[in-house]
Amino acid sequence: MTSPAKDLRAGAVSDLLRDPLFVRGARSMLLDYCGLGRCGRTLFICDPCVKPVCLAVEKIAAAEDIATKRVSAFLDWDHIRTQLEDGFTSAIIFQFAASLHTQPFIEFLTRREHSFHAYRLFGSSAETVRQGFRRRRSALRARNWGLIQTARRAGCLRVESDCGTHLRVGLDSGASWSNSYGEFADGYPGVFPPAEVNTRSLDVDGVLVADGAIGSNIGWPLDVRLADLPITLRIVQGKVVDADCRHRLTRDLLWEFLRKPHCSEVAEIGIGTNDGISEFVPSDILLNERYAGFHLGIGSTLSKRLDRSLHLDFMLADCRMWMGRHLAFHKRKFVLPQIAKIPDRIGFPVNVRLHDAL
Amino acid sequence: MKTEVKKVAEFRRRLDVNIAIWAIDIPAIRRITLELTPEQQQVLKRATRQVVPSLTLVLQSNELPPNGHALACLQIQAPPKSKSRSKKE
Repeated sequence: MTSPAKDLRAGAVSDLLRDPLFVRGARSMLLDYCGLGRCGRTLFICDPCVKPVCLAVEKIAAAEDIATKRVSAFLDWDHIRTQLEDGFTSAIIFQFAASLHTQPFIEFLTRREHSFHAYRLFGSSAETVRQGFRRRRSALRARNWGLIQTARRAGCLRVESDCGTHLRVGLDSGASWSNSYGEFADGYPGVFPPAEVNTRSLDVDGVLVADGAIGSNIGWPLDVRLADLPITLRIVQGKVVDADCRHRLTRDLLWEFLRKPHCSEVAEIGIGTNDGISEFVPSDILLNERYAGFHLGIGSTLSKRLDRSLHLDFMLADCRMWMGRHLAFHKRKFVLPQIAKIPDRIGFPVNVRLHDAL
Repeated sequence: MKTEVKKVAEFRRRLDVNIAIWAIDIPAIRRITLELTPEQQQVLKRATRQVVPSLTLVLQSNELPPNGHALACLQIQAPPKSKSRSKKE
């Protein structure tokens, strides 16, 4: 397994272009997920640390007759806005970690929603492009709606795993959901890589043994994979009351996080739905959250503001999920009732947003 | 390439100053626990026949401050065990 950092160092553009998995992933992102074609022009806004990936995608776009131009994400917003207004109809932001120009970009999109579409590729490593787009968007979209519908009907979720997870989550029928499969909607960029659904609940009790990966929006500083050093959380009424890990530094950092105000509260009940992702990657990037299975987020997510949103995610490598009596996930496969018609947000009595990160 | 020590220091600094690299956008939740006065407990006891020392309101919304939906959680205190009367012989 190549780490994304090594990917970036060694990832000369020509190497990426010779990699069939990368090329297939990039084509899927551009054509299926972004719906790009010969009409229109796309601006690539690129964090310099992921430039090789961006350059390779640019060349793959050119081979598909998609007109693109690349600018640095480190330019000031006025410069980028001037570029965007120069006849571009779409944009893709390639970022590795930090979100740049979030607020002004959303304001721009709100004004131009009907004539412009935009996407943000979090953790733009070669691995994200290779693994993140193996499934068709329509399939993940249908799966996500099916999960939300099944979960809301059931009103409760039970998660178990062979390594000791037994968690019960009460799902409030009035709670909002996120259905993130990379759609540009409501003036927010489509979030890549796809896909997951999530909601919030404080009715959470039990034990969670995270043996997949840990992730954080402040950047987890160690190898995020937990297969050899799982983290055990004991949760009572939506609060983490105990946390343990054999690795001392992991345990120390975890407790430093938990001691911050509101940071021991469960903030997210998440289900990664992308079964095209075959393994967790060592860097703290969004790809791990999309891995098919259960994840639980804790933290002080009080608003969309970066300065009030500390978040930590715990991903399970494998688990069984019941929604009511229905076994919805088992052996990394989703088992969902067939939906005659893919529902839309209009059919839901609660708000369902199509993005989950900014 | 940052060393692990530097990364750990960066994590702690971000934690300290409360600054994230990117924002999670999920609905907001507030939990407010109200300790009830003896008079309020008495009112609830009449209605529920239970002793309720505190009332936790879970408020959730897409926007802040949460004002869309509230779920009340009643913390029920176990009633004191009544002394069983010994039968007079």
